Amino acid sequence: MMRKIILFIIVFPFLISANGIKEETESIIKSEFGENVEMAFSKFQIPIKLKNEIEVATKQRFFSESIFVWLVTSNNSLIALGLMDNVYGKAQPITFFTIFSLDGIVHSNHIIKYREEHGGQVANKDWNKQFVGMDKNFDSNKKVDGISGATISVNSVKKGVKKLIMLFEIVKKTNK
Amino acid sequence: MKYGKTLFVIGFMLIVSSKANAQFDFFEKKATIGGYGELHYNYKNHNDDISKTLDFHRFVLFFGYSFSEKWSFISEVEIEHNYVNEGEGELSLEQAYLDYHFQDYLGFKAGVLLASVGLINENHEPVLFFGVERPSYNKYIIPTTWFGNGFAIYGATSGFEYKLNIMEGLNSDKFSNSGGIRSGRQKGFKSDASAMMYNLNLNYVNISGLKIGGSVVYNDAIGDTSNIPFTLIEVHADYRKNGFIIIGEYGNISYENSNLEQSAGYYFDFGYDFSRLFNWEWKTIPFMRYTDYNTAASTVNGGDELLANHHTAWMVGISVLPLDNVVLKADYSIDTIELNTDKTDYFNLGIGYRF
Repeated sequence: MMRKIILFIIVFPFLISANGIKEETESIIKSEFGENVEMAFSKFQIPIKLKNEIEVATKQRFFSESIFVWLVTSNNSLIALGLMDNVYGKAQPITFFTIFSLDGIVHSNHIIKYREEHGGQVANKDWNKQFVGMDKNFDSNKKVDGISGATISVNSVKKGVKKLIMLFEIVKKTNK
Repeated sequence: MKYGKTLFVIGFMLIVSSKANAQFDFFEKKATIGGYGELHYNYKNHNDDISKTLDFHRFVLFFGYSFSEKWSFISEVEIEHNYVNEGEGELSLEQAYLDYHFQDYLGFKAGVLLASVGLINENHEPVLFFGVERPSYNKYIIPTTWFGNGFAIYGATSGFEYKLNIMEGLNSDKFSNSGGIRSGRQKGFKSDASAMMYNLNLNYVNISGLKIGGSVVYNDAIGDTSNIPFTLIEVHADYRKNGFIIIGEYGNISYENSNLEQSAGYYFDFGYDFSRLFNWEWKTIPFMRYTDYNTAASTVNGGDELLANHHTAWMVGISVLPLDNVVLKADYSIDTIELNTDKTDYFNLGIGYRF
C-alpha cells in the first residue's frame, strides 16, 4: 500500500502538469457554453504574409508559426471559436486563450498559464473582462487598464489579444 | 522482478502523457536581454541660488536566462551618473539571482535581491512612476533602490502575493537624522552577515486594477560603533481604472538605542490619462502629488532636529508615453522644510525607456 502511495506521489505531478493546459482550456469552454458542447481541436498554421502584416501592425512577434484553435459546436452548428497563443512576459511565455463569437467579437479572454514571479495579476478574471466586446476596430492599447507591478505582462497580453483579433477572420474561413 | 510491472506502468503513463501533451509544452530555453535608462534635466532654485544639471541618471542592462520552466537566472547591472570615479557615480549589481519557481504558490530565489518594500523598489523603471525623479518618499523613507545579498521565499494564492526575504542587514553607523536608514545599505559589497534583515511583504491583487498591501522589515542593525535595531512598517495602494491612476504609500521606521527614534512619511499621486478621453495615440497623463516626510520625526534631542528634516511638497507634472516603453516627463514642485519655512523650487524634464 505504502509503495502505491509513493508511486502515486511521484507520477501524479507529471500527469497534472502535462495535462493542465488542454484540460483547463476545455474546462473553460464547457463552463461558458455548457457541458454538452462539442469541441474540435487543431493547430492553425499562420500564413506568412498575414503574419508579417499583423506583427508590423501590433509591434509584437508571434510566439511561433502556428496557434491552437478550438471549434465549439452545439447540435452540429459552430457557435464559437477559441484561439490559444503565447506572448512573452519578462522572460517566459504567457499562455492565453481568447474565445470569439462568430462575428469576430471577443467573448472572453483567459490566462491559462503564467510562469514568472511578477505580473501574475494579468490572470485576474475581472481584468480580462476588459477584452470582452472588442473586435478589429478596437484599440486595445487604449481601452485596457494597466496593473501596478505587471506592466510588461499587461502590454504583452494586450498585443497578443489584438493579434488574435486580427487573425480571427482567416481562422474562421479556414475552418468553415 | 518484484517492481517490474509497476515500473512498466509508470513508464507507460509518463510516455503517454508526455506524447499527448508535448505540443502544449510552450517553454523554451531562452536568454533575455533588456534594460532601462533615464536622462534628467534638473533645475533647482533655493533662495535665488540656482543650479541646472543634465544627468543620465541611470543606465541599466538586464540579462536573464531560463534554464527550464522552473529554473531561471535574472540579473541587472546599473551605472549611475554616466561613470564611476573618485566617489562619483556608481556601478552596481542590483539583481543577480537564481529563481526556482516550483508552483505559483511557492518559489525560492537566492543571490542579489531587491527588498520587497513599497511600490517602487521592485518596479523602478522610469515608465512606471510619475515624476522625473522617483518620489522623495522612495528615497528617504524607503531607500530605493534597496538591494542586497540573501534569499527569498515567495508565492501567490487566492489573490494574495507574499514574499519573505532574509538578506543582509544595514550598517547602523550610517543612519542619520537627514537620511534615515538610506546610507546604511551595504549594497552587497562583502556584506556583513552577522545580523540578517527579515522582510515580509503581502499584497492583495484580486480586484482588477487594485494592488494593496504592506510590508515589515526588521533588522538588528550593527556597525563598528553602534547597534540600532529598527523596524520599518509600510502600507501602499495603487489603483488604475478607466484612465484614472491613484497611488498612495505610508511608511514608518522606529529605531532603538539611538538619538534618532522615528522616521515617517507618505505621499499621494493622482493622475488621469487624457488619451482615453480624446482618443490620442500617445498616453498623456497629467498628475499631481502631495508629499510629507520627516527622516527625524522623533529624536531624543527633539527641538530643531525635528523641524529641519520635515519636508512637505506639492508637485504637478505630466508623463507622455508615445509607446508603452518610452516616456517623456516634466514636473514642477515646491519643497518646504518646516524649519524657517525654507522653500526650494524644482523644475525637471526627463526621458526614459525600457525594453
